[in-house]
Amino acid sequence: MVDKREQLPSQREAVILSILVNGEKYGREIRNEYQKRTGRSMPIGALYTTLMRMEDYSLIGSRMGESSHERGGNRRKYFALRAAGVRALNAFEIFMAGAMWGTVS
Amino acid sequence: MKPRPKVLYNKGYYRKNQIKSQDNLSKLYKQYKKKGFPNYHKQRDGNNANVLNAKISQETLDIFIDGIRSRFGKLNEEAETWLRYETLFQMNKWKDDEKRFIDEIDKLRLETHMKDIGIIQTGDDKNTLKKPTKEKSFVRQSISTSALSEIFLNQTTTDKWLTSSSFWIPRRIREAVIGDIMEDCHELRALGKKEYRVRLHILWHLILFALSLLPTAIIKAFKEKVVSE
Repeated sequence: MVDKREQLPSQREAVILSILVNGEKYGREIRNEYQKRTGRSMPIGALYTTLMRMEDYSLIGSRMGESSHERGGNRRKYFALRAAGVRALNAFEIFMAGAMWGTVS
Repeated sequence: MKPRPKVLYNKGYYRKNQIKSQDNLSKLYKQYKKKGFPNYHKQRDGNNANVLNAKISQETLDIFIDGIRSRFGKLNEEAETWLRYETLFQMNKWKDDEKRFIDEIDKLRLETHMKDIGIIQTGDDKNTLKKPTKEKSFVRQSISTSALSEIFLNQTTTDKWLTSSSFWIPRRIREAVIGDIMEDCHELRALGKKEYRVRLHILWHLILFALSLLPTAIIKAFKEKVVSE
């Protein structure tokens, strides 16, 4: 039997998932939003390794976007939620509520 | 004690004709752009060989400028796709152009020029005169060193350093990561921060990126080891 905790996203992953609920966003937008919500800065490296891991678990999907002069001609990579991501976020919410208030066993 | 071997390029023979550094190259190009490219027809009116040489030089430069203009046409139409090549595929893209330019230059209208001036055409003449060294090296080096990107696209040395030092970042996220850092740099510059501050930002983020990749690399290596055992 699979342990429930294994399916749960980490705290950082959960915040990223909740940011992506409003629609697809690219790396820098996610980083700024994360900083705004949590008050903590997130380095680019940490963000992208997390996003890569989440993509491997198919919690999120990605597509390459447009390039611009500001980015030196580099394209943006947009990330969006997937069904597994929504499920993981719900599970995290229920788990946290249970852990904090004992509402769910 | 053995005498030091004499090396040709130490005599300054090649240095006279070749433009070595990228800075010199961009300076020269800016100079050309301001004053206009040198008109050899008017400057040199010595013997017939000199006139022919001048015509060849003029034609090489003309071909080069035409090529750049055609590039600019493309740039206006599809700026984004063109700029994309200014990252990692830049060198390959420019090398194609270099081939094209050099091919064109090799097809110079030597024979018609020779007839115009009245030189009798011999094999030796053709070989000796078919060496517009300064202009040819200018074309070759300006493309291979991508000095033009600095002139036309206002790319700073920091940007170039950033694009070239990204080979160790995993391919599937390389473009996004470098783009994000570049966007940060753009914002910092807009805020009026100095260049050293921008460079520190880049360095800090690249170090953190390398550190964040380490654990995943170790885990991956460990897994592979387990599987192989």
